[in-house]
Amino acid sequence: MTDFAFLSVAELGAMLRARRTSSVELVGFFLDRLERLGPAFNAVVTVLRERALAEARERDAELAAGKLRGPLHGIPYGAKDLVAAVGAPTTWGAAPFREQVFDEDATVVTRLRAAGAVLCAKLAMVELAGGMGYNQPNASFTGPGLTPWAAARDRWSGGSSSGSGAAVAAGLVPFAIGSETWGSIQFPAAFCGVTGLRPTYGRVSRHGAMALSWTMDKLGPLARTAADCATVLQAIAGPDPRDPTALPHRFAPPQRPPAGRRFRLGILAGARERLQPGVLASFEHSLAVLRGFCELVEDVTLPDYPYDALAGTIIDAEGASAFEDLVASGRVAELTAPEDRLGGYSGQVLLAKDYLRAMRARRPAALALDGVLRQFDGIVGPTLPTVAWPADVPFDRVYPEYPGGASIGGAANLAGAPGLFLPNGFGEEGLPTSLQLTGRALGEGPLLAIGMRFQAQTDFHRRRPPGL
Amino acid sequence: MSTSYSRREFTEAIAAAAVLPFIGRGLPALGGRPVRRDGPDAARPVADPSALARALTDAVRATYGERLSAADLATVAAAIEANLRRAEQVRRLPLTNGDEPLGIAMLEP
Repeated sequence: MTDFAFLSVAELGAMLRARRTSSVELVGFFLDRLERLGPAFNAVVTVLRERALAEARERDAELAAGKLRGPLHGIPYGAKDLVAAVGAPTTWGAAPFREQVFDEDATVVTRLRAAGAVLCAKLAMVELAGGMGYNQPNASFTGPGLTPWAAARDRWSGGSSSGSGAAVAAGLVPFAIGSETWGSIQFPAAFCGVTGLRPTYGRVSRHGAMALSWTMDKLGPLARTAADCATVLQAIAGPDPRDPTALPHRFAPPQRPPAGRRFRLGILAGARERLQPGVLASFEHSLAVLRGFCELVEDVTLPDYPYDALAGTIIDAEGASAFEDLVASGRVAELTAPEDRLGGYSGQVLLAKDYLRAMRARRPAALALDGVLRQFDGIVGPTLPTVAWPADVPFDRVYPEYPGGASIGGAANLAGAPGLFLPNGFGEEGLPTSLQLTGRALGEGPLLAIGMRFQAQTDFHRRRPPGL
Repeated sequence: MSTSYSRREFTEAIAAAAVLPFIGRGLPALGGRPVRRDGPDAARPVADPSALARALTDAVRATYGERLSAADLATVAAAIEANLRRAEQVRRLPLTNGDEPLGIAMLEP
Protein backbone atom coordinates (compact mmCIF):
# COMPACT_ATOMS: atom_id res chain seq x y z
CA MET A 1 0.00 0.00 0.00
CA THR A 2 1.23 3.50 -0.80
CA ASP A 3 2.35 5.52 2.22
CA PHE A 4 0.14 8.58 1.97
CA ALA A 5 0.76 9.73 5.54
CA PHE A 6 3.05 12.69 4.94
CA LEU A 7 2.04 13.79 1.49
CA SER A 8 0.61 17.26 1.03
CA VAL A 9 -2.95 18.03 0.02
CA ALA A 10 -1.63 19.07 -3.37
CA GLU A 11 0.16 15.75 -3.85
CA LEU A 12 -2.76 13.66 -2.67
CA GLY A 13 -5.13 15.63 -4.88
CA ALA A 14 -2.93 15.06 -7.90
CA MET A 15 -2.93 11.33 -7.21
CA LEU A 16 -6.70 11.34 -6.89
CA ARG A 17 -7.25 13.22 -10.09
CA ALA A 18 -4.83 10.92 -11.91
CA ARG A 19 -6.82 7.93 -10.59
CA ARG A 20 -3.71 6.61 -8.84
CA THR A 21 -5.77 6.34 -5.70
CA SER A 22 -9.36 6.89 -4.59
CA SER A 23 -10.98 8.89 -1.87
CA VAL A 24 -12.12 5.66 -0.23
CA GLU A 25 -8.54 4.41 -0.16
CA LEU A 26 -7.23 7.68 1.23
CA VAL A 27 -9.96 7.97 3.82
CA GLY A 28 -9.51 4.36 4.88
CA PHE A 29 -5.76 4.88 5.18
CA PHE A 30 -6.11 7.93 7.42
CA LEU A 31 -8.98 6.45 9.46
CA ASP A 32 -6.72 3.52 10.29
CA ARG A 33 -3.94 5.85 11.38
CA LEU A 34 -6.32 7.96 13.45
CA GLU A 35 -7.56 4.88 15.26
CA ARG A 36 -4.17 3.23 15.63
CA LEU A 37 -1.91 6.18 16.39
CA GLY A 38 -4.25 8.89 17.65
CA PRO A 39 -4.31 7.66 21.25
CA ALA A 40 -0.51 7.80 21.48
CA PHE A 41 -0.70 11.58 21.15
CA ASN A 42 -4.08 12.15 22.86
CA ALA A 43 -4.98 13.73 19.56
CA VAL A 44 -8.41 12.35 18.75
CA VAL A 45 -11.82 12.60 20.36
CA THR A 46 -14.03 10.86 17.80
CA VAL A 47 -13.22 9.00 14.60
CA LEU A 48 -16.05 9.41 12.08
CA ARG A 49 -15.51 6.17 10.18
CA GLU A 50 -18.99 5.61 8.76
CA ARG A 51 -19.67 9.22 7.86
CA ALA A 52 -16.26 9.58 6.26
CA LEU A 53 -16.42 6.44 4.18
CA ALA A 54 -19.92 7.33 2.96
CA GLU A 55 -18.71 10.75 1.85
CA ALA A 56 -15.61 9.24 0.26
CA ARG A 57 -17.74 6.90 -1.81
CA GLU A 58 -19.78 9.89 -2.98
CA ARG A 59 -16.61 11.78 -3.95
CA ASP A 60 -15.31 8.77 -5.89
CA ALA A 61 -18.60 8.41 -7.71
CA GLU A 62 -18.46 12.06 -8.66
CA LEU A 63 -14.92 11.72 -9.95
CA ALA A 64 -15.94 8.71 -11.99
CA ALA A 65 -18.73 10.82 -13.45
CA GLY A 66 -16.32 13.60 -14.29
CA LYS A 67 -17.32 15.97 -11.49
CA LEU A 68 -14.41 17.57 -9.66
CA ARG A 69 -15.25 19.90 -6.79
CA GLY A 70 -11.77 21.38 -6.60
CA PRO A 71 -8.33 20.75 -5.09
CA LEU A 72 -9.80 19.34 -1.88
CA HIS A 73 -11.99 16.79 -3.67
CA GLY A 74 -11.76 13.52 -1.77
CA ILE A 75 -9.12 14.74 0.69
CA PRO A 76 -9.49 13.61 4.34
CA TYR A 77 -9.21 16.07 7.21
CA GLY A 78 -9.87 16.53 10.90
CA ALA A 79 -11.48 19.34 12.88
CA LYS A 80 -10.89 20.68 16.35
CA ASP A 81 -13.68 19.45 18.57
CA LEU A 82 -15.18 22.89 19.02
CA VAL A 83 -16.57 22.71 15.49
CA ALA A 84 -20.03 21.16 15.26
CA ALA A 85 -20.48 18.10 13.07
CA VAL A 86 -23.50 15.86 12.72
CA GLY A 87 -22.96 12.30 13.82
CA ALA A 88 -20.58 12.91 16.67
CA PRO A 89 -20.48 14.73 19.98
CA THR A 90 -18.91 18.18 19.99
CA THR A 91 -17.20 18.21 23.34
CA TRP A 92 -15.26 21.47 23.41
CA GLY A 93 -12.57 19.36 25.09
CA ALA A 94 -14.46 19.65 28.35
CA ALA A 95 -15.92 16.87 30.47
CA PRO A 96 -19.21 18.71 31.13
CA PHE A 97 -19.87 18.69 27.38
CA ARG A 98 -18.81 15.12 26.54
CA GLU A 99 -22.33 14.22 25.44
CA GLN A 100 -23.13 17.50 23.67
CA VAL A 101 -24.61 16.93 20.20
CA PHE A 102 -25.58 19.45 17.53
CA ASP A 103 -27.99 18.70 14.72
CA GLU A 104 -26.20 20.66 12.02
CA ASP A 105 -22.66 21.08 10.79
CA ALA A 106 -20.69 24.24 11.41
CA THR A 107 -20.31 26.46 8.37
CA VAL A 108 -16.63 25.56 8.07
CA VAL A 109 -17.55 21.87 7.83
CA THR A 110 -20.29 22.63 5.30
CA ARG A 111 -17.86 24.65 3.21
CA LEU A 112 -15.21 21.95 3.27
CA ARG A 113 -17.74 19.30 2.27
CA ALA A 114 -18.86 21.49 -0.61
CA ALA A 115 -15.21 21.69 -1.64
CA GLY A 116 -15.00 17.91 -1.57
CA ALA A 117 -13.02 17.39 1.64
CA VAL A 118 -14.00 14.48 3.88
CA LEU A 119 -14.23 14.94 7.64
CA CYS A 120 -12.60 11.93 9.30
CA ALA A 121 -12.20 12.93 12.95
CA LYS A 122 -12.98 15.39 15.69
CA LEU A 123 -9.64 16.32 17.18
CA ALA A 124 -8.68 16.91 20.80
CA MET A 125 -8.32 20.37 22.30
CA VAL A 126 -7.72 22.16 25.56
CA GLU A 127 -10.97 22.37 27.48
CA LEU A 128 -13.04 25.39 26.44
CA ALA A 129 -10.11 26.50 24.27
CA GLY A 130 -8.23 27.58 27.35
CA GLY A 131 -10.83 30.09 28.42
CA MET A 132 -10.65 29.13 32.07
CA GLY A 133 -6.95 29.90 32.39
CA TYR A 134 -5.17 26.56 32.20
CA ASN A 135 -1.63 26.35 33.51
CA GLN A 136 -0.63 22.86 32.37
CA PRO A 137 -0.87 20.58 29.33
CA ASN A 138 -3.23 18.21 31.15
CA ALA A 139 -6.28 20.41 30.63
CA SER A 140 -8.59 18.22 28.56
CA PHE A 141 -10.60 15.11 29.33
CA THR A 142 -8.59 13.41 26.58
CA GLY A 143 -5.32 14.07 28.40
CA PRO A 144 -2.41 16.29 27.46
CA GLY A 145 -1.81 16.62 23.74
CA LEU A 146 1.64 15.28 22.84
CA THR A 147 3.88 16.31 19.99
CA PRO A 148 4.93 13.44 17.73
CA TRP A 149 8.43 14.89 17.57
CA ALA A 150 9.32 13.71 21.07
CA ALA A 151 10.03 10.00 20.81
CA ALA A 152 9.47 9.65 24.54
CA ARG A 153 5.99 11.17 24.19
CA ASP A 154 6.79 13.61 26.93
CA ARG A 155 6.40 17.00 25.24
CA TRP A 156 3.25 19.04 24.83
CA SER A 157 1.71 19.53 21.40
CA GLY A 158 0.66 23.08 22.29
CA GLY A 159 -2.79 24.49 22.80
CA SER A 160 -5.51 24.96 22.50
CA SER A 161 -5.68 23.25 19.07
CA SER A 162 -3.65 20.38 20.54
CA GLY A 163 -5.06 17.54 18.49
CA SER A 164 -5.08 19.50 15.25
CA GLY A 165 -1.34 20.10 15.50
CA ALA A 166 -0.45 16.60 16.64
CA ALA A 167 -2.67 14.88 14.07
CA VAL A 168 -1.13 16.72 11.14
CA ALA A 169 2.39 16.22 12.49
CA ALA A 170 1.84 12.48 12.97
CA GLY A 171 0.37 12.00 9.52
CA LEU A 172 -3.09 11.16 10.88
CA VAL A 173 -4.72 13.68 8.54
CA PRO A 174 -3.34 15.80 5.68
CA PHE A 175 -4.81 18.94 7.22
CA ALA A 176 -6.90 20.02 10.16
CA ILE A 177 -9.05 22.92 11.25
CA GLY A 178 -7.99 24.71 14.41
CA SER A 179 -8.99 27.92 16.10
CA GLU A 180 -7.15 30.82 17.63
CA THR A 181 -8.37 33.43 20.07
CA TRP A 182 -4.83 34.20 21.16
CA GLY A 183 -2.11 31.68 20.34
CA SER A 184 -4.15 28.53 19.78
CA ILE A 185 -2.96 27.87 16.24
CA GLN A 186 0.43 29.48 16.85
CA PHE A 187 1.49 27.17 19.69
CA PRO A 188 0.44 23.82 18.14
CA ALA A 189 1.96 24.76 14.78
CA ALA A 190 5.26 25.56 16.47
CA PHE A 191 5.40 22.66 18.92
CA CYS A 192 4.31 20.13 16.29
CA GLY A 193 6.45 21.41 13.42
CA VAL A 194 3.58 21.98 11.00
CA THR A 195 2.37 24.96 9.01
CA GLY A 196 -0.47 26.94 10.56
CA LEU A 197 -2.50 29.89 9.36
CA ARG A 198 -4.37 32.27 11.64
CA PRO A 199 -6.68 34.10 9.25
CA THR A 200 -7.84 37.66 9.60
CA TYR A 201 -10.70 38.02 12.06
CA GLY A 202 -13.90 37.57 10.06
CA ARG A 203 -12.27 35.76 7.13
CA VAL A 204 -13.89 32.48 8.16
CA SER A 205 -17.40 32.09 9.50
CA ARG A 206 -17.56 31.11 13.14
CA HIS A 207 -21.09 29.75 12.89
CA GLY A 208 -21.26 26.39 14.64
CA ALA A 209 -17.95 26.85 16.42
CA MET A 210 -17.69 27.26 20.18
CA ALA A 211 -17.45 30.90 21.19
CA LEU A 212 -14.81 31.92 23.68
CA SER A 213 -14.48 35.54 22.60
CA TRP A 214 -16.84 36.68 19.86
CA THR A 215 -14.64 39.54 18.74
CA MET A 216 -11.36 37.59 18.75
CA ASP A 217 -12.10 33.96 17.77
CA LYS A 218 -10.75 32.82 14.39
CA LEU A 219 -10.85 29.45 12.61
CA GLY A 220 -7.93 28.41 10.42
CA PRO A 221 -5.99 25.48 8.96
CA LEU A 222 -2.98 23.52 10.09
CA ALA A 223 -1.32 21.59 7.27
CA ARG A 224 2.03 20.48 5.86
CA THR A 225 2.60 23.45 3.59
CA ALA A 226 1.69 27.09 3.13
CA ALA A 227 0.22 26.16 -0.24
CA ASP A 228 -2.12 23.69 1.45
CA CYS A 229 -3.16 26.36 3.95
CA ALA A 230 -3.99 28.64 1.04
CA THR A 231 -6.08 25.93 -0.59
CA VAL A 232 -8.04 25.34 2.59
CA LEU A 233 -8.51 29.05 3.25
CA GLN A 234 -9.92 29.50 -0.22
CA ALA A 235 -12.52 26.85 0.57
CA ILE A 236 -13.60 28.19 3.95
CA ALA A 237 -13.35 31.97 3.58
CA GLY A 238 -16.22 34.23 2.66
CA PRO A 239 -19.51 35.68 3.80
CA ASP A 240 -22.04 33.75 5.84
CA PRO A 241 -25.48 35.09 6.72
CA ARG A 242 -25.33 33.05 9.91
CA ASP A 243 -22.24 34.89 11.13
CA PRO A 244 -22.69 38.65 10.89
CA THR A 245 -18.97 39.18 11.49
CA ALA A 246 -17.98 37.09 8.46
CA LEU A 247 -16.43 39.34 5.85
CA PRO A 248 -17.67 39.44 2.28
CA HIS A 249 -14.21 38.94 0.82
CA ARG A 250 -13.29 35.76 -0.99
CA PHE A 251 -9.73 34.51 -0.92
CA ALA A 252 -7.67 33.52 -3.93
CA PRO A 253 -4.43 31.64 -3.26
CA PRO A 254 -1.22 33.25 -4.50
CA GLN A 255 0.07 32.04 -7.82
CA ARG A 256 2.20 28.91 -7.74
CA PRO A 257 5.05 29.50 -7.81
CA PRO A 258 4.59 33.02 -6.46
CA ALA A 259 5.59 35.88 -8.68
CA GLY A 260 9.23 36.81 -8.50
CA ARG A 261 8.89 40.17 -6.82
CA ARG A 262 10.87 40.91 -3.69
CA PHE A 263 8.88 41.14 -0.51
CA ARG A 264 9.48 43.55 2.33
CA LEU A 265 9.66 42.15 5.85
CA GLY A 266 10.15 43.90 9.18
CA ILE A 267 11.95 42.43 12.18
CA LEU A 268 10.96 43.72 15.61
CA ALA A 269 13.66 45.26 17.74
CA GLY A 270 14.34 42.71 20.45
CA ALA A 271 13.03 39.78 18.44
CA ARG A 272 16.28 37.86 19.03
CA GLU A 273 16.39 38.39 22.77
CA ARG A 274 16.10 35.64 25.36
CA LEU A 275 15.56 32.84 22.87
CA GLN A 276 16.72 29.28 23.26
CA PRO A 277 19.97 28.95 21.30
CA GLY A 278 18.44 26.45 18.89
CA VAL A 279 15.50 28.76 18.22
CA LEU A 280 17.84 31.67 17.55
CA ALA A 281 19.98 29.58 15.21
CA SER A 282 16.92 28.51 13.24
CA PHE A 283 15.72 32.10 13.04
CA GLU A 284 19.03 33.35 11.70
CA HIS A 285 19.08 30.54 9.14
CA SER A 286 15.55 31.48 8.08
CA LEU A 287 16.56 35.11 7.66
CA ALA A 288 19.39 34.00 5.38
CA VAL A 289 16.85 32.14 3.24
CA LEU A 290 14.43 35.06 3.24
CA ARG A 291 17.13 37.51 2.17
CA GLY A 292 17.16 35.71 -1.14
CA PHE A 293 13.76 37.13 -2.04
CA CYS A 294 12.91 39.68 0.64
CA GLU A 295 14.15 43.04 1.84
CA LEU A 296 14.61 42.74 5.59
CA VAL A 297 14.18 45.84 7.74
CA GLU A 298 15.62 45.60 11.24
CA ASP A 299 14.61 47.30 14.49
CA VAL A 300 10.95 47.82 13.75
CA THR A 301 9.00 48.95 16.81
CA LEU A 302 5.31 48.72 17.54
CA PRO A 303 3.32 51.74 18.69
CA ASP A 304 3.07 52.10 22.44
CA TYR A 305 -0.17 50.44 23.46
CA PRO A 306 -0.88 47.88 26.18
CA TYR A 307 -1.94 45.29 23.62
CA ASP A 308 -1.76 42.32 25.94
CA ALA A 309 -3.80 44.01 28.66
CA LEU A 310 -6.43 45.04 26.13
CA ALA A 311 -6.66 41.55 24.62
CA GLY A 312 -6.73 39.88 28.00
CA THR A 313 -9.51 42.12 29.28
CA ILE A 314 -11.63 41.53 26.21
CA ILE A 315 -11.17 37.77 26.20
CA ASP A 316 -11.84 37.46 29.91
CA ALA A 317 -15.00 39.56 29.71
CA GLU A 318 -16.43 37.85 26.65
CA GLY A 319 -15.43 34.42 27.92
CA ALA A 320 -17.10 35.12 31.25
CA SER A 321 -20.33 35.83 29.42
CA ALA A 322 -19.96 32.92 27.00
CA PHE A 323 -19.55 30.48 29.88
CA GLU A 324 -21.70 32.18 32.51
CA ASP A 325 -24.19 29.31 32.47
CA LEU A 326 -21.43 26.77 32.97
CA VAL A 327 -20.06 28.69 35.95
CA ALA A 328 -23.54 29.21 37.40
CA SER A 329 -24.32 25.52 37.10
CA GLY A 330 -21.28 24.59 39.12
CA ARG A 331 -20.20 22.12 36.46
CA VAL A 332 -16.91 23.94 36.02
CA ALA A 333 -15.91 21.68 38.91
CA GLU A 334 -15.89 18.81 36.39
CA LEU A 335 -13.11 20.34 34.29
CA THR A 336 -9.82 18.46 34.13
CA ALA A 337 -7.27 21.07 35.21
CA PRO A 338 -7.81 22.12 38.84
CA GLU A 339 -7.07 25.75 37.98
CA ASP A 340 -9.80 25.70 35.33
CA ARG A 341 -12.37 24.79 37.97
CA LEU A 342 -11.86 28.19 39.62
CA GLY A 343 -10.75 30.26 36.65
CA GLY A 344 -14.24 31.28 35.59
CA TYR A 345 -15.31 33.07 38.75
CA SER A 346 -13.24 36.23 38.58
CA GLY A 347 -14.60 37.05 35.15
CA GLN A 348 -18.14 37.03 36.50
CA VAL A 349 -17.41 40.29 38.32
CA LEU A 350 -15.18 41.89 35.71
CA LEU A 351 -16.44 45.44 35.48
CA ALA A 352 -18.42 46.46 32.40
CA LYS A 353 -16.59 49.77 32.28
CA ASP A 354 -13.26 47.96 32.06
CA TYR A 355 -14.43 45.80 29.17
CA LEU A 356 -15.87 48.79 27.34
CA ARG A 357 -12.75 50.83 27.90
CA ALA A 358 -10.68 48.05 26.39
CA MET A 359 -13.04 47.90 23.42
CA ARG A 360 -12.82 51.67 23.02
CA ALA A 361 -9.03 51.58 23.14
CA ARG A 362 -8.98 48.73 20.65
CA ARG A 363 -9.65 50.84 17.60
CA PRO A 364 -6.82 53.35 18.10
CA ALA A 365 -4.49 50.51 19.08
CA ALA A 366 -5.41 48.52 15.98
CA LEU A 367 -5.12 51.57 13.75
CA ALA A 368 -1.69 52.33 15.15
CA LEU A 369 -0.58 48.74 14.61
CA ASP A 370 -1.88 48.82 11.07
CA GLY A 371 0.20 51.95 10.52
CA VAL A 372 3.27 49.76 11.01
CA LEU A 373 2.00 46.64 9.28
CA ARG A 374 1.05 48.53 6.15
CA GLN A 375 4.71 49.36 5.56
CA PHE A 376 5.54 45.69 5.07
CA ASP A 377 4.33 42.48 3.53
CA GLY A 378 4.84 41.02 6.97
CA ILE A 379 6.62 41.17 10.30
CA VAL A 380 8.91 38.16 10.76
CA GLY A 381 10.07 36.64 14.01
CA PRO A 382 10.44 33.39 15.89
CA THR A 383 7.00 31.91 16.52
CA LEU A 384 7.97 30.98 20.10
CA PRO A 385 11.15 31.41 22.16
CA THR A 386 11.57 27.71 22.94
CA VAL A 387 10.86 24.25 21.58
CA ALA A 388 7.89 22.24 22.87
CA TRP A 389 7.42 22.36 26.60
CA PRO A 390 7.59 19.29 28.85
CA ALA A 391 4.15 17.73 29.20
CA ASP A 392 4.38 17.44 32.97
CA VAL A 393 5.54 20.93 33.95
CA PRO A 394 3.20 23.85 34.75
CA PHE A 395 3.52 26.71 32.31
CA ASP A 396 4.67 29.13 34.98
CA ARG A 397 7.73 26.98 35.63
CA VAL A 398 8.79 26.06 32.13
CA TYR A 399 11.96 27.48 30.57
CA PRO A 400 12.03 30.60 32.77
CA GLU A 401 15.40 31.55 31.30
CA TYR A 402 13.92 31.88 27.80
CA PRO A 403 10.83 34.12 27.94
CA GLY A 404 11.55 35.56 24.50
CA GLY A 405 11.88 39.15 23.38
CA ALA A 406 9.56 41.42 21.48
CA SER A 407 6.35 39.70 20.48
CA ILE A 408 3.56 40.72 18.18
CA GLY A 409 1.07 38.01 19.13
CA GLY A 410 -1.11 40.02 21.50
CA ALA A 411 -1.22 43.04 19.22
CA ALA A 412 -2.03 40.95 16.15
CA ASN A 413 -4.83 39.05 17.80
CA LEU A 414 -6.25 42.25 19.29
CA ALA A 415 -6.35 43.80 15.83
CA GLY A 416 -7.54 40.66 14.05
CA ALA A 417 -4.40 40.53 11.92
CA PRO A 418 -3.38 37.27 10.20
CA GLY A 419 -0.37 35.13 11.00
CA LEU A 420 1.46 32.30 9.27
CA PHE A 421 3.58 29.83 11.20
CA LEU A 422 6.22 27.79 9.36
CA PRO A 423 8.54 25.02 10.54
CA ASN A 424 12.06 26.38 10.21
CA GLY A 425 14.42 23.90 11.82
CA PHE A 426 15.11 21.89 14.91
CA GLY A 427 16.37 23.04 18.27
CA GLU A 428 16.93 21.58 21.71
CA GLU A 429 16.12 17.87 22.07
CA GLY A 430 15.70 17.68 18.29
CA LEU A 431 12.30 19.35 18.58
CA PRO A 432 10.92 21.65 15.88
CA THR A 433 11.35 25.40 15.78
CA SER A 434 9.06 27.78 13.94
CA LEU A 435 9.00 31.04 12.03
CA GLN A 436 6.16 33.55 12.35
CA LEU A 437 4.91 36.00 9.72
CA THR A 438 2.31 38.60 10.68
CA GLY A 439 0.50 40.73 8.13
CA ARG A 440 -2.12 43.41 8.02
CA ALA A 441 -5.80 42.56 7.90
CA LEU A 442 -6.71 40.61 4.76
CA GLY A 443 -3.01 40.25 4.04
CA GLU A 444 -2.91 36.46 3.98
CA GLY A 445 -1.92 36.44 0.32
CA PRO A 446 1.55 37.94 0.72
CA LEU A 447 2.18 35.91 3.87
CA LEU A 448 1.33 32.68 2.08
CA ALA A 449 3.34 33.67 -0.99
CA ILE A 450 6.37 34.24 1.23
CA GLY A 451 5.70 30.97 3.00
CA MET A 452 5.54 29.11 -0.30
CA ARG A 453 8.81 30.63 -1.44
CA PHE A 454 10.40 29.78 1.90
CA GLN A 455 9.22 26.18 1.73
CA ALA A 456 10.44 25.87 -1.86
CA GLN A 457 13.93 26.48 -0.47
CA THR A 458 13.72 24.49 2.76
CA ASP A 459 12.60 20.99 3.62
CA PHE A 460 11.60 21.24 7.27
CA HIS A 461 7.97 20.76 6.35
CA ARG A 462 8.96 17.50 4.67
CA ARG A 463 10.57 15.93 7.71
CA ARG A 464 8.88 13.08 9.52
CA PRO A 465 8.76 12.65 13.29
CA PRO A 466 10.84 9.76 14.66
CA GLY A 467 9.26 6.35 14.29
CA LEU A 468 6.49 7.57 12.04
CA MET B 1 -5.20 59.57 18.47
CA SER B 2 -2.12 60.51 20.41
CA THR B 3 -0.99 58.80 23.55
CA SER B 4 0.94 60.15 26.50
CA TYR B 5 2.55 56.79 27.20
CA SER B 6 6.29 56.99 27.61
CA ARG B 7 8.39 54.12 26.38
CA ARG B 8 9.25 53.21 29.94
CA GLU B 9 5.61 53.15 30.94
CA PHE B 10 4.80 51.08 27.90
CA THR B 11 7.52 48.56 28.68
CA GLU B 12 6.30 48.35 32.25
CA ALA B 13 2.74 47.96 31.10
CA ILE B 14 3.57 45.13 28.75
CA ALA B 15 5.66 43.41 31.37
CA ALA B 16 2.93 43.83 33.94
CA ALA B 17 0.31 42.55 31.55
CA ALA B 18 2.35 39.44 30.96
CA VAL B 19 2.95 38.93 34.64
CA LEU B 20 -0.34 39.89 36.21
CA PRO B 21 -2.32 36.85 35.22
CA PHE B 22 0.03 34.80 37.32
CA ILE B 23 -0.10 37.21 40.19
CA GLY B 24 -3.82 36.98 40.01
CA ARG B 25 -5.02 33.49 39.67
CA GLY B 26 -1.75 31.78 39.96
CA LEU B 27 -3.16 30.93 36.56
CA PRO B 28 -2.18 31.93 33.06
CA ALA B 29 -5.61 32.90 31.74
CA LEU B 30 -6.04 34.85 28.52
CA GLY B 31 -8.11 32.44 26.51
CA GLY B 32 -6.38 30.01 24.31
CA ARG B 33 -2.86 31.15 24.87
CA PRO B 34 -0.78 29.35 27.42
CA VAL B 35 0.93 32.22 29.17
CA ARG B 36 4.26 31.86 30.87
CA ARG B 37 5.97 33.93 33.43
CA ASP B 38 8.37 36.60 32.37
CA GLY B 39 10.75 36.31 35.27
CA PRO B 40 11.40 34.55 38.54
CA ASP B 41 9.11 36.83 40.53
CA ALA B 42 6.20 36.57 38.16
CA ALA B 43 4.27 34.02 40.17
CA ARG B 44 4.44 35.99 43.39
CA PRO B 45 0.96 36.03 44.93
CA VAL B 46 -0.84 39.22 45.82
CA ALA B 47 -0.52 39.67 49.56
CA ASP B 48 -3.34 42.09 50.13
CA PRO B 49 -6.17 42.49 47.65
CA SER B 50 -7.55 46.00 47.38
CA ALA B 51 -10.83 47.06 48.93
CA LEU B 52 -12.50 46.89 45.54
CA ALA B 53 -11.15 43.39 44.95
CA ARG B 54 -12.47 42.33 48.33
CA ALA B 55 -15.87 43.84 47.55
CA LEU B 56 -16.05 42.07 44.23
CA THR B 57 -14.99 38.84 45.90
CA ASP B 58 -17.92 39.33 48.26
CA ALA B 59 -20.15 39.47 45.19
CA VAL B 60 -18.74 36.13 44.07
CA ARG B 61 -19.23 34.77 47.56
CA ALA B 62 -22.84 35.97 47.61
CA THR B 63 -23.58 34.24 44.33
CA TYR B 64 -21.49 31.10 44.44
CA GLY B 65 -20.19 30.97 47.99
CA GLU B 66 -21.88 27.73 48.92
CA ARG B 67 -19.56 25.82 46.63
CA LEU B 68 -16.33 27.73 47.23
CA SER B 69 -13.98 27.17 50.14
CA ALA B 70 -12.05 29.94 51.84
CA ALA B 71 -8.98 28.90 49.89
CA ASP B 72 -10.98 28.99 46.66
CA LEU B 73 -12.21 32.49 47.46
CA ALA B 74 -8.67 33.64 48.19
CA THR B 75 -7.66 32.40 44.74
CA VAL B 76 -10.63 34.18 43.19
CA ALA B 77 -9.78 37.37 45.09
CA ALA B 78 -6.25 37.30 43.74
CA ALA B 79 -7.60 36.86 40.22
CA ILE B 80 -9.96 39.78 40.66
CA GLU B 81 -7.10 41.93 41.92
CA ALA B 82 -5.11 40.98 38.84
CA ASN B 83 -8.01 41.97 36.61
CA LEU B 84 -8.23 45.35 38.35
CA ARG B 85 -4.51 45.97 37.94
CA ARG B 86 -4.71 45.02 34.30
CA ALA B 87 -7.58 47.45 33.90
CA GLU B 88 -5.33 50.14 35.29
CA GLN B 89 -2.94 49.50 32.43
CA VAL B 90 -5.79 50.05 30.03
CA ARG B 91 -7.02 53.14 31.85
CA ARG B 92 -3.68 54.90 31.44
CA LEU B 93 -4.42 55.10 27.76
CA PRO B 94 -6.20 58.41 27.17
CA LEU B 95 -9.50 58.25 25.31
CA THR B 96 -11.87 60.92 24.14
CA ASN B 97 -15.64 60.98 24.41
CA GLY B 98 -15.78 60.11 20.72
CA ASP B 99 -13.79 56.89 21.03
CA GLU B 100 -16.44 54.24 20.58
CA PRO B 101 -16.13 50.53 21.32
CA LEU B 102 -14.85 48.50 18.42
CA GLY B 103 -17.47 45.88 17.73
CA ILE B 104 -15.59 44.02 15.07
CA ALA B 105 -11.86 43.74 15.44
CA MET B 106 -10.85 43.50 11.82
CA LEU B 107 -9.63 46.69 10.28
CA GLU B 108 -10.40 46.72 6.62
CA PRO B 109 -7.55 48.40 4.76
